[in-house]
Amino acid sequence: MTHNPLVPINGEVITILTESHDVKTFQVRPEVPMAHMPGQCAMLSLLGVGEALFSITSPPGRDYLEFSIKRVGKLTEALHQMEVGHQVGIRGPYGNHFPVEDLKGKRLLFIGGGIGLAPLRSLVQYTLDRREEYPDAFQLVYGSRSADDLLFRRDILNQWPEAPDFKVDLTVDVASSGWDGHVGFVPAYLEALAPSPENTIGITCGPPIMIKYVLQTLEKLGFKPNQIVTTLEYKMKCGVGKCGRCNLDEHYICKDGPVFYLSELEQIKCDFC
Amino acid sequence: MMMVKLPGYEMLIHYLQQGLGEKQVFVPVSEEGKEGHVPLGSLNKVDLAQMTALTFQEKPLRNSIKSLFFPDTETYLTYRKEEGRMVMETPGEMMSQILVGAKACDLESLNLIDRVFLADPVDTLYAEKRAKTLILAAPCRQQGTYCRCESFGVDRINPAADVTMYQETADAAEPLYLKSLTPAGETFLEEMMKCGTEGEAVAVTEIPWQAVPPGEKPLSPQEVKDQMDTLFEHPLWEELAMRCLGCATCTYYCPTCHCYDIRDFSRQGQEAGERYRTWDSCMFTSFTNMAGGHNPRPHRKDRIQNRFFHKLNYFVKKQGPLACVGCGRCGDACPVGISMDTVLNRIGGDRHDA
Amino acid sequence: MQSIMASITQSIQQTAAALLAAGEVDLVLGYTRGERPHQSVPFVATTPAAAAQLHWDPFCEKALAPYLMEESYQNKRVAVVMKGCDARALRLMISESRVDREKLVVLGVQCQGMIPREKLEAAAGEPLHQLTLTWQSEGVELTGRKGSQTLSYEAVLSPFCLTCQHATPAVTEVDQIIAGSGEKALVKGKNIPPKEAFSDIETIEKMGAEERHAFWMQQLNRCIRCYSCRNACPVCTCRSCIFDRENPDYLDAAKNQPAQHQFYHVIRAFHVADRCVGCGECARVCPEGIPLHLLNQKLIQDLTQHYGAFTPGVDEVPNPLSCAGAHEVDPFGKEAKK
Repeated sequence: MTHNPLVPINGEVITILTESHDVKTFQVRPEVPMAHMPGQCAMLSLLGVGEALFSITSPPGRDYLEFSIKRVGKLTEALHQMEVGHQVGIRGPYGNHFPVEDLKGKRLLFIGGGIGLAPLRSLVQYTLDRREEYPDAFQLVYGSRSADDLLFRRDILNQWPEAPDFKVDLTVDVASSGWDGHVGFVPAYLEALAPSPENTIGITCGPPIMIKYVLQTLEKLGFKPNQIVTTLEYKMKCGVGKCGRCNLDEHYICKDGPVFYLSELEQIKCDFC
Repeated sequence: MMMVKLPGYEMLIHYLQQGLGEKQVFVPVSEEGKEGHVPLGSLNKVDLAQMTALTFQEKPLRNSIKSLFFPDTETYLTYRKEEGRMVMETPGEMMSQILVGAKACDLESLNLIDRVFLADPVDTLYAEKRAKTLILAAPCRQQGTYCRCESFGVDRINPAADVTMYQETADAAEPLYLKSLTPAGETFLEEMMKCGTEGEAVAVTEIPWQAVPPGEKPLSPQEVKDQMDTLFEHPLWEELAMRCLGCATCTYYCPTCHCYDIRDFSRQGQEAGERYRTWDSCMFTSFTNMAGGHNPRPHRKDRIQNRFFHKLNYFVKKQGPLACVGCGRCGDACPVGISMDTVLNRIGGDRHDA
Repeated sequence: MQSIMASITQSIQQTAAALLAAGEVDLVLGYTRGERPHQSVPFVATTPAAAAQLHWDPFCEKALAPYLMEESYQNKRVAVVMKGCDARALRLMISESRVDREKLVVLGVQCQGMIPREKLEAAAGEPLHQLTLTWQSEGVELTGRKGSQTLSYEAVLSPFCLTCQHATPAVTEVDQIIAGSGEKALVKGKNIPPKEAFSDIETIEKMGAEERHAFWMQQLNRCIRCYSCRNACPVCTCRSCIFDRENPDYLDAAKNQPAQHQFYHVIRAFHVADRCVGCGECARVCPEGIPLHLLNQKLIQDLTQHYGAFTPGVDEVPNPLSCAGAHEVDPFGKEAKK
């Protein structure tokens, strides 16, 4: 018999970064290296607690995988208790990935909300690593609930704004002292910024309600459905297109997704978009 | 192909009992309201009359055979901490098994699940059971009262098993004819006869058995799929949601439903436990409810609609056939009488006009 | 008997059509004929024309009260057809602030008792689809391929109905009683003491501890955790069931763990112990045929012995073991049911 795809391998937690009061980024080194592409996911598990699918936040080509995890339930709570040196179960990578070939020679517009920046970050780093193939302008529109909830500060405040031709526009839903940037929801900010659709691909991920309005806004700005890419997140258990719960029409998001062009989603009987 | 005639059902059971040490055998039993396949070795007494009646009845058993290939709960990983490291173990190889008394619709339901579980990456838990199970099936002389196998294109007269069983009438004392359909089936019959089982090789033409030919034209999966497409916004789904109880009965008795959950079990304070998969149901809110609170299918209407669309539309688009074999179990078991017909009647079609 | 079933059906149809035509309600929840022979299933009529599909016969077993808590019935003016047991459950739901009585029109039916389809088929000795039924005063006349026979109502009625003392909802609980006209023969046999109707309880009581444990292990281990018993139960009305909670998950999902099945069924039996209205839905809907009602009937007998007779949904609250008032905090109030 071949290997049971549901059985994980061991991974070691080598670094833990605290991103916000409820988000931590874990660097995990699997005992057998895993090659992935930006947008793909992997199953992380704590034996005795449970297993869930998380976006891989780091770009390919490192000897570790990064996962930025928000504390929302039983498993994520337990993951947040981990310390460096602890072991997690890991299997994957799963799903399709961002259409990196299609993005070549295009201006890239990344739109993220909250923890939704996690999968986008892998793509941002991937394209920055290969700037000769992606020489055009980059723009990130990113928002979170409050200034304290902005994630990947080292990237969004330092590294990315300093990269050549990379514009970073940040917003928060609620103003607070110490925040002198923009205040407002991501879709509204995006509309105000009004990036040109010309030779541009918009790539978005965030809470379902944000994605819904971002897609509408992009269309309003003149983006065609084949210029808009999003990545979806449903509850997933097997990761290999069998357990049934992440279906969207006849597609299984864990296998056929999570990355879709809006032009593809428009052909799909879709629950939330 | 090989064909043998045994003096009765008893000889088959007797032969199977001899081999119980090396093989697990499942036979049809009805006990305390539960009708299904149980291990022959677990029976205190073999009720041949009942077994014969259940084998040759013109409908499948209440509990489908899927649990022999896809158990309702299946541990695939045990773990313990040793010297600070997590040690994981997977179960060893299973014993071969023989399933007696399946029906054509049961076999077809496995073919449908095969398309999902045997696709890349192969579900090894399921694949092993498929490879190591020999199936003896009995045809149905006519379509059962509440069966729709003919509509779903199931050949009830020729179940796609390893061995087909025939009897003139369902009487344990009557001769039992066994016909092999696969090399594994032929080996089984050869070995049975080599062991001195009372019986003889006969010609196929000698089976004193005749079936009523199918009377219904199979539904076209494409047509059903297209008709379902026009029903996506139909009030039918809210109507059904107002009647459905939201329990898992239809999905657990359905021979083609194959959704599962993955869970961990460990006793508090112990650094050991197991990870198992267990049947799950798309009718439960928890099926799609995410830890953060978002649920893409928050309403019962969404869930019931998704279930019927999966059977009659999504599966067709992805795999080709309809994900229903017309066994009638959902309608038998549903506490409020919702069946596949409830939806098919709305779609129309040959015998399904309301 | 033919006349009373037909006249109740006619009366329900007319009342429903009038309510819908006058715009007094948005929908009428009752029963219609199912796809299977001699099966009646819940049905919602939203137009006067659809009211013609409403139906009444002794196969209208499904308790309708639980639907009133479902999302699809919220913010609507609902008329509901109710048997005595259902109306008792409704009264509990009202006392526990589960439903708003003001928004309901309750059509109480003079229930003649329900006939379980399996019991009828077993007694008839012939498949249901071959049978034509005629309601006679002395019993139900069955005409099938084997000829005609008349079975007494005692032989075919549900044991719950044979012991029922509140078949017709109390006049004070309903907006209208739908009585029908004609002989009311099914009521005749209805004074069987519970001990006799549920004789299994005595059999189980007489078992030794080990034998009794083995009996329940064998029964409960058949459970596949489909939750039909809970979802069908008219007094299982928690908005958020403890067994649905995912964090913490009190119940392990494994279906091969006897302890988990016991935990589920015993907790549930106790939770409804002094609220059970004896409708029999738990046992009827169980696809594995687990006699779940025996737990509740035993608890009812014990409660009567220790606390005196108390009829949930008839007698004034507080119930012997528990009660929840409208003023009490509902910690799960914001969570959806099921």
